[in-house]
Amino acid sequence: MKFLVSSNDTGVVKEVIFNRGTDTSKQDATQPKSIKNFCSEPDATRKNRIVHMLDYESKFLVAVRLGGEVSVYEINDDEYEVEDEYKYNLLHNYKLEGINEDMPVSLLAVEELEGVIVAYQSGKIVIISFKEDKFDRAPVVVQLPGNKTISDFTANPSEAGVFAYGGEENDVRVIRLFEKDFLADSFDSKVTDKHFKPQVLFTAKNVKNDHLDLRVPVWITQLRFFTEQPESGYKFITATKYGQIRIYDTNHGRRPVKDYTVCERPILRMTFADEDETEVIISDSHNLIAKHSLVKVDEKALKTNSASAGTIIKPVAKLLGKFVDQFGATYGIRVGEGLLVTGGLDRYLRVFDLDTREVIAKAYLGVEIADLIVLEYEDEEEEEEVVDEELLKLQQRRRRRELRDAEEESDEEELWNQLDESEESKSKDVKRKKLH
Amino acid sequence: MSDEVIWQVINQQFCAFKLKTDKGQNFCRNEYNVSGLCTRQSCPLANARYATVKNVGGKLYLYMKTAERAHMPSRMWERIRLSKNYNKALGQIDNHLQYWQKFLIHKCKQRLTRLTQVAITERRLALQDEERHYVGVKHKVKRREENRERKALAAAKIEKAIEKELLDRLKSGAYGDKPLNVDENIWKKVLGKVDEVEQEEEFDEEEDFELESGEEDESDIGEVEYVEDDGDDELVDLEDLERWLDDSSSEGEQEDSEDEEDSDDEGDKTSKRKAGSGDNKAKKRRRARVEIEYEQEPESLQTNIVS
Amino acid sequence: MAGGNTSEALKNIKNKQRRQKIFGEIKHDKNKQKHKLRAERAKEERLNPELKEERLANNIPATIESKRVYDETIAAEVEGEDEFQQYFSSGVEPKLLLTTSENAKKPAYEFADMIMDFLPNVTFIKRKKEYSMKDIAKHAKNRDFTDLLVINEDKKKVSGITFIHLPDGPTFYFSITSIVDTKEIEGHGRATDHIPEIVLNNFNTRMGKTVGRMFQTIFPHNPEIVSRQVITLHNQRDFIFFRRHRYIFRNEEKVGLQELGPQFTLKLRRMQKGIRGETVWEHRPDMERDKRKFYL
Repeated sequence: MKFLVSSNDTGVVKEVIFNRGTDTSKQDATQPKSIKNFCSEPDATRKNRIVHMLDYESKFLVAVRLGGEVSVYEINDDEYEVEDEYKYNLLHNYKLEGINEDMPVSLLAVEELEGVIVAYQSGKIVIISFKEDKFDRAPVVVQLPGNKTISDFTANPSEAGVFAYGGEENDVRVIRLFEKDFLADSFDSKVTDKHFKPQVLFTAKNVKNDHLDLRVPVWITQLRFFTEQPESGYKFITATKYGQIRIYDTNHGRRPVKDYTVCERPILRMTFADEDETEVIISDSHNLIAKHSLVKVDEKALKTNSASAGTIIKPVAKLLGKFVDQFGATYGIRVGEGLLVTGGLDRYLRVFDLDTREVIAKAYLGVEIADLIVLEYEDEEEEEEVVDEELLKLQQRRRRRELRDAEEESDEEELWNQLDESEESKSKDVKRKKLH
Repeated sequence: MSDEVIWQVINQQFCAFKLKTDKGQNFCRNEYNVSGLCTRQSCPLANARYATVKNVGGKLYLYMKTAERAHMPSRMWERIRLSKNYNKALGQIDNHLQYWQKFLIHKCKQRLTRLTQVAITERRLALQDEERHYVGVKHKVKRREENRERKALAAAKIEKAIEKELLDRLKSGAYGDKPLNVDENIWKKVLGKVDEVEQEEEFDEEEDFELESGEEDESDIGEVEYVEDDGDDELVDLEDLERWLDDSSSEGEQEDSEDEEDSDDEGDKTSKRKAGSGDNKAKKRRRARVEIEYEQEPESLQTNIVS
Repeated sequence: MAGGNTSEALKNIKNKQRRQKIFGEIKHDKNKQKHKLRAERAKEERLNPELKEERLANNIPATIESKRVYDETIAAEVEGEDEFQQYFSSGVEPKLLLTTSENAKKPAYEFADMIMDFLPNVTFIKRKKEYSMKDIAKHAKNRDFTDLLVINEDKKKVSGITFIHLPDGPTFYFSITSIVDTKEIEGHGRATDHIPEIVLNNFNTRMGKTVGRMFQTIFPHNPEIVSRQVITLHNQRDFIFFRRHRYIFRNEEKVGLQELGPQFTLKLRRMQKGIRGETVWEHRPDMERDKRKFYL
């Protein structure tokens, strides 16, 4: 299994490779194959640590840094082993104007734009296009309607150009950022924020007052659209700072269809646990990671005692199980191939089995984890394959050394070109472009 | 069954809701009871015409039953949602219980008042942001922790550990060249021993340093050997040490100034490191001395967790 | 075998008092033998000190410390920076703000007095109910305080202390037990106003290092060693023992210590990011199930 993990303490990205059964807490268990630091440029420190990461079509690693920087790194194909110094090269570093202290809250890949959208807490979104793998286009900054801070920004997977966001005292809004037929072709250097006119399609309404007739505070922390959308309208799920998860269907009014209080502390991350999207996994600011069903309901799970109103019993989305091993809050959660990969403030990377909830592998990384992406779920092949790989590696190394010996005096650019010629690398174009 | 018969049974024989006390006043646990007392007037079972106020899920209702619906238990109670406004709610009670007994009107109003007050208190409590969350600690856990603390204290041998640490500091020269916290004679003895140790350490450090300095390792290694072999290098270092002892004869603010020096030197060091390998021997030696100073930086006093 | 025989033999004695008497006799004999053996050994070893060394080298008692559950974070080097970096890099002197929990009673103020005795550059404010810890932290941040300490008192007993490092956290909560005032320590010395040295022992794991750095940051950089005062925070099995001593180097191998007081024991209960933000670590009773597993 291969992961990329962003580090809070150092601001770099760690590449972690280990197999099932790895456990650094036990001396006699399997130890991780490799843990290496990458992406240290541009001057990675705690100050400009990576908050969100994205694997863009397995080509680029997009990393949003604190302080208004977005770095794009190259992900090499794994057809052959690449030496460490050639891995994850910095392709471009976008410096965004006027962002500075703004906290990035979300990073999305948008196919139609052939690029990404970065959302910031202040309600600014930055649209960056990588069309034709070029990085020379200026990022477009768009202010979202509402003038309030946001905590999450997400895209509708089944309808292009439709997004939703919400935050502190800022209930969910669904907007259309661009039209369906907005093609990436038109996204050239001339495009400015005038081409993106957010048009509000839906504004949610707060739930009814509670049994004491007090207003329920609003603070959306996570938002996800369901893949299966109704014919008209939208269906999505939100998580809040007050431990609720709510399901909205815009055909059924502005209030949530379902409203469950699943934990007492703020929900930090929420993700669907299966392909049918009938289960979600949530992590809270404490040490909880839990799986809840969206279909099954526990009718009497939540009891509130009130002196005036007596005991109030409310239904809760059925708790399907908790993942227990971590000490602290979990920020990085990824689900795939029956596995749950988590990483958080306790500096461990863990892989759980989604069904049995057992720890399949865990590794101590020494840094607090802000986000992670999974490059491979499969264990690395052992035995025969290894020989081949090593042979290949040797050959490559030899070839490189020959090249280097031959052209020791030549400058870097020439060396690069030589390398490009000798290697049938897919990322060839990119490298050359960078050097121009 | 007439009310009187029911009351006879409840009062004289048995009632599931009755809570007997030895103070002469019995209580009633029936949720429809308007006063909570077991009396003829406030018994919800023995009165065909009855009214009460209830809070259902945070909403206040006026419940009424009349003799006309007594034969239909499922529709026995008629309920009216009361206004959130306390005065209006009072008015509502007055309206709906217009020709009812004075007792019920009065008790309903009393109950309304009480429920409103409780709700207000609850609201105030709910809005308070509780700073501390109380968790129960089991006696077993508490006792276990006490015992473990006692045993840990015994195992810690704190005084020994402190003594060892202090001696380490003294011997490693963390207290500077003329420590104010140690008798002169003892310090001289320590110094005599330390001299040799420090010499060795110094070389070690130099080696480390050379390795750190990166690309140009190979040219440097030769020089390290040269320094090690050279006999009078020791003398030079002793000289250095002496000069340095003279320098820092004053106290107090001295430490601060030393600090500054250190930081300056460190700055130099890094720049040199970047500059590469073109250094001559003299510069080398200077570097080595810088390393010693770094050892003696007062800050290292407190960084024993790092080691 | 002998033990088996005796117990068998004892079982056959039906009279309880007689049985007990015989058992006592057997025990007494055993003890006597043991003492004799020891005396002999001591005699031998006095003549021949190598024997003692050999015996001590071979008989290493198994302690909880030596049997500690493997923790990979002890060996791993510390990467990157943390929130305390500013103290170490820019040489900022600590400035502390001390307060108590709401509705504090006498013990809390007495404890505050106790710790103000050794904490340099500390300001005490009386807690007002209308300001939460977060509010106080915000105000303190604007006034350049580097740490906020809040004494927690329950049922007229000091039960804990919260450390909030400013400006951006982290927050630690320790429980406090075994508080001993200076006056109650026999042969205690009188402390002076100098800045003490600080000794931090056994903060080994990654968490422990963070905690150690936190303690470091509440004391100024340059101790006044003239005063020969040392504050020790000694971590043993996750209990942090606070002690204060005056020392004197008697010769190059011996140190004399005089306790200055006070004493108390801290135990980390919770660590949070920021100012009471997300939990990094929290103590749970079930963590103590394995008594050889430690977190600091």
